[in-house]
Amino acid sequence: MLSALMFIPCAGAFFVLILPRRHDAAIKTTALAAALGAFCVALLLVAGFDAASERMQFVELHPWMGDAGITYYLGLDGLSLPLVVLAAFFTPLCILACWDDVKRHVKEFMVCLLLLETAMLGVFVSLDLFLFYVFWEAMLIPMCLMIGIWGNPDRRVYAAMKFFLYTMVGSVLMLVAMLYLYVLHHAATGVFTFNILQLHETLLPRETQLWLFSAFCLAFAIKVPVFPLHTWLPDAHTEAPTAGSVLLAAVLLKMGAYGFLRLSLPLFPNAAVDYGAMLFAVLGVAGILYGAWVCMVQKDLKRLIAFSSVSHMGFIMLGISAMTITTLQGAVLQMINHGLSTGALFLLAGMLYERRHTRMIADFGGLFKVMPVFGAIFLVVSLSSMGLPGLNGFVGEFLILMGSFARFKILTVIAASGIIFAAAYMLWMFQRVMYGAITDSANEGVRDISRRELWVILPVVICIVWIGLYPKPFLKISEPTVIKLVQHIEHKYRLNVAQEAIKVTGLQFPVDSYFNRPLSTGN
Amino acid sequence: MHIIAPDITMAAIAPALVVFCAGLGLLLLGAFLPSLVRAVSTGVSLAALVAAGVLEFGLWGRTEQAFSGALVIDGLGVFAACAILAAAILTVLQSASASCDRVTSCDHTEYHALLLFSISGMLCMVAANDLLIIYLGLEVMSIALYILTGFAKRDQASNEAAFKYLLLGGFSSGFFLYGCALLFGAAGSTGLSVILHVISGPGAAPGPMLMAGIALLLVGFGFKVSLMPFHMWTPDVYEGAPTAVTGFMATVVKVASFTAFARVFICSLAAFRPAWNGAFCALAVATMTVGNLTALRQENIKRMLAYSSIAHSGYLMVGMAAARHAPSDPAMAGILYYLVAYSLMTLGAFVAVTLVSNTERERVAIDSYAGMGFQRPLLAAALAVCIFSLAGIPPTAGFMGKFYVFTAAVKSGHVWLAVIAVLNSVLSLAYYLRIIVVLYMREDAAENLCGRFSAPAVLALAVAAVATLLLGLAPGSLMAAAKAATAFIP
Repeated sequence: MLSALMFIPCAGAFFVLILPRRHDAAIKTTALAAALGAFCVALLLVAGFDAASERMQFVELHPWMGDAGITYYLGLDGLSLPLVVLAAFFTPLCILACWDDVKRHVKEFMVCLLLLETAMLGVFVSLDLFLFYVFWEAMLIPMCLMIGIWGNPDRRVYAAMKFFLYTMVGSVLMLVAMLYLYVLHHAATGVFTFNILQLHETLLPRETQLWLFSAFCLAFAIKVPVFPLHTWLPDAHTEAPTAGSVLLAAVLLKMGAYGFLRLSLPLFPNAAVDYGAMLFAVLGVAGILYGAWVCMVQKDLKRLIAFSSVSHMGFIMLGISAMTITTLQGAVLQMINHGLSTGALFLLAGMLYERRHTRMIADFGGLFKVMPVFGAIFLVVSLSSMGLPGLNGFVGEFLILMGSFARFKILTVIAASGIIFAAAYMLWMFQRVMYGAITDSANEGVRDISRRELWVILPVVICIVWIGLYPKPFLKISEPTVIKLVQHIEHKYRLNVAQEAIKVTGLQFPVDSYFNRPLSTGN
Repeated sequence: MHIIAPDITMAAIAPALVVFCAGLGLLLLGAFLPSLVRAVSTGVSLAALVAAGVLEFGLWGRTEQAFSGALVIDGLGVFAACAILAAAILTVLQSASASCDRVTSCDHTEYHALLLFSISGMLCMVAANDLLIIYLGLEVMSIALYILTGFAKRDQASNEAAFKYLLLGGFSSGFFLYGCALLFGAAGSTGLSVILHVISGPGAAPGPMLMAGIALLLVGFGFKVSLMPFHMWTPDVYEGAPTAVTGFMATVVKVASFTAFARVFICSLAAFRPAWNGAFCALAVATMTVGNLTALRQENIKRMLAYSSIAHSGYLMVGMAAARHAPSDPAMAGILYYLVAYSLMTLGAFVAVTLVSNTERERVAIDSYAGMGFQRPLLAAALAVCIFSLAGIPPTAGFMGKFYVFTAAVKSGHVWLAVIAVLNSVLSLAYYLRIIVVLYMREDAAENLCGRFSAPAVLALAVAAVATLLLGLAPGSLMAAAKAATAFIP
């Protein structure tokens, strides 16, 4: 079923390719049908998912390049299922959102979008490291083309190239680290394999772990993006077309965080716990504050939302760094939340752009009078982004902050102030755009939200409210996987430490004394 | 009186002989029937190449020496020969396009004859087990190419390129020959098997004569595959030569040269690996970096593809640094796979350039490709596939080639080499993406994009692009063949 999920959009792209160029309506309908098909399969996966089991489900294992140890290995667990549903959920919404928006080269746009969906879904369900890498890289081409061809004419090429090259640098270093891990696994077990679950069991010395952890984390840190490596994000988000921005913010950023949880942490727990935790906690908090402060001085609406993404992903990084069950649950949930709220924000910004052809906040003002329904929805989404209790953002942020307080007291306090800054920039932006008197006469004739746009935005709003009021089903899905992850990290950390002690001293220490050692460290 | 009957195994030279005779036949035809249609030359060449290919397939699986150790029939030679013949078939198809009319119209029999002679030299070179036979194949290949480079007689750039190639090629052949002589002095024979036997013997130590010989051989080979200090001829020659010839040079010459390079160094000089391995690593790094850095500034697509081919030689050298003389060596198999993938993607790019050029002049300025992505979508898509493959982005054959080579490098302990190589891949993306940007993200160029449709060239482009994608998605069978091919002798 996972193969069907991944390749329905691909088949849809193929059908769109053979349709003649002029029939825009047929092209768009086919694309929408393919995306909805993938979403239906995703819903079937949710229905068939056993939330009590921490094992991989819907597993598909076929030989591919056996001599190199590469298999076609797919699987779903509590970590990837929410992200798969998120990706499959947003793609049809994006197609609907840009129904009237994209006028030139509609066929190629839809093909790019569908191929992008295949790659995104592929990343989340791959359990073979090579397959993961192939999808990780393959996702760059359609995104780069979408930004470069259908983005804003002034800076789209710069943004596309920057996005591609920046992400690629991290990815190729991850490739070398992958190959090195592959060789080390063979040295330890005699088997050449890229199977992620088997590679999780490799024991590695500390220095090696540090190098490999750095290489893997560089790739994911660029994607998330973690604070100093975020400079590609504002340009890419701002210059991309609406559909591109939404998918970038909602799904692609989560791929970085998913990489941390699926690969960096379980493969190299010693490096992660001893060095990575503190580093990424600090960088995460720095990202929260930096993103928030820069947001407050933004004049461009989409750029503001982009920097708010940096800020929100900082919370997720803090949650990942603390590595307790609560914070990891919060991080996974916050990934969904951020996807929903920021995706919705970009959709709404796209609707404003369609009407007024400007993204500058100063050009708006007093829109609530002429677009009341739009205003209400915008308000709900902004409040969710801020983390208002009752909406989805609060649940995730609360779990993260509550859990990481035990580990990183000072950092958590600083991070909590980020919520205040989020409120500041969001409310101020909302006030300047929607409230007040209508200063620009062009704003008077703006039409309110249309039926198609309601179809686009309401599902997202419903999910936002649902998760805010009743997050339990979502938390239950990820719980077994998160528990298993934390247990795996602890267990492997101790095994590695014991292994090193044996190597260093040559003596066999009683392993019991290591079971009493608490997980490091924090302040 | 004791007469030693010469050891003649026709099977070993049959493919080369077929191609060579076809070339001779074309020359005669051209002399006696001056009004011969170009389609006939194309047909004869294709027939000869296909026949040679069939003969080569028949040799697969045998491992034996022929002509008293001068030639050898083994997996490496057969694999390389098949790759060369496949690329040559695509080149002949490309030469049948309209824009090559300008170049070949009056002298098409000579053009095809020279191509065939060059190929026969290469077929000899990849099967050679003796330094002098390698030299023989090298010279036959090169001299034909010197003439082909200058085939556009009225084009000054072409004449200049031919002259440069002749001079520099002559010098490098001289270096190569001197290296052969020194190696002969040190080992007592020019046969690769004998050299292997002598220097792996117990008392062998790398004396100054042997080291000098190895260094000179390295120079000779380095010139042919465009390694860093010896690469200066490549951009000018590739730019000046007619595009079909450039595609031919960029691909099959490298395949043949790397095969001979591998035979001499990795195989017979294996005992002195510590001596030349460091040089290989240094050359690889230098070649990749210089090739990629210089390509960033190029405005002419042929020149840019020339520098990109220099960079790919660098990646191949990474594989050579990691390779060992062992059965199923992953590095050797990776190099063979990479050579096939590289040939396909480079040929695809050059055929695309041919297809948008017309009979007056070639379309080589990168900016003149603006807007082609939507005006001629299929052609641009094929070119884009080849470009992404050259950059090493999955799921293409170029990515798989780099994957195999870098895996082999990491396996053999050259991790830093792999790191530098992947960083170079990112660097190369900067100029490959420029082509994509120009194709798709720019408004239409002012010029009229009229290349004439030509079925054989379109077929060649389609084959190259589709094969690039297929080999990227399902590289298993080619890789298995490459692994089997590494059972090579001596």
